[in-house]
Amino acid sequence: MPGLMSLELETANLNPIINQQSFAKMSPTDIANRRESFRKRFIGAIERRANPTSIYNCHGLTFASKRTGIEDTTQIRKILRDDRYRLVDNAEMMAGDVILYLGPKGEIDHSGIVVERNAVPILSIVLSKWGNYTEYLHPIMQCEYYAHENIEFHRVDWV
Amino acid sequence: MNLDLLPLERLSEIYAISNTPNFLFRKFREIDAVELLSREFSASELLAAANEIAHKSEKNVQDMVNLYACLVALTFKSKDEFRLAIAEGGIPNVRWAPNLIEEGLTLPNPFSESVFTIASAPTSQPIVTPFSTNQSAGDFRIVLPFAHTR
Repeated sequence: MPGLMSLELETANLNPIINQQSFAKMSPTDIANRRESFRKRFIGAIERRANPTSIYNCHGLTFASKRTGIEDTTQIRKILRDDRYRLVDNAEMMAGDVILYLGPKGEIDHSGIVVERNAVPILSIVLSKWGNYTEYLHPIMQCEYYAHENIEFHRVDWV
Repeated sequence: MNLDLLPLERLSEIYAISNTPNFLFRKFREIDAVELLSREFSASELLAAANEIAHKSEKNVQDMVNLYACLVALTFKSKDEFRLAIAEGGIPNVRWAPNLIEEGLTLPNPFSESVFTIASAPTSQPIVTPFSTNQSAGDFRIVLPFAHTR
């Protein structure tokens, strides 16, 4: 496939992680249109000052240090298992935990990192990357990926 | 093929924020205009349009949105029609095309077909058959002289 590259990436257990960098670009007009529509639709979501890029996606931000994109749910499940993530409930959730937004069949549609806990958990602030657009700081519920009770929190927890 | 009816803004939003092909697939399928596209055009026409865009040397967001909309529209077709079009037209050489096609093939057929044939119109009066000599109205059975097959 033209314009794609992948890195040698492994879990803590040395299992390979399938990943892809993409080099697709958005035009200034497209960027302006997205910025305007997201500003109106997602109240409280703040775009971080970084140019849109498709080099990494949300899972690349959360699990691969913004170096590449990871698209397959099975790869994320592998990382969660090998890197010793454990499920954390809402009451226990804190800044630094990973948030996953799940699809109807358990697909991992989106991920991010909790950066600020709120007394009302769904108002807690998350840093995440929205597809091939840019990074956002946003309340958990203020994004396209949120649906009622489709979120999970995970924390690395080596024993 | 005229793709002007597609809600470009909404589809472009979904395209921009999709982290995975599965998410884009599901969200595109929720758009009525994408389903409408599948009714307006044949599977081979949709695939030909997708391939034509895929062959462009420079593709902008609108191109990618139209291309993916055509592929997702294809997944509203029956599996046989879908498979035949892919076998004849090939998979467009763009990033998520194989994923979208795979997602489409995992779906159940969009509708099931049943053929009912009525062999002839009734030619005689219904036959009313009593069960016994001391019956009430609820005991009667009416048999219509239809010959039907499934």
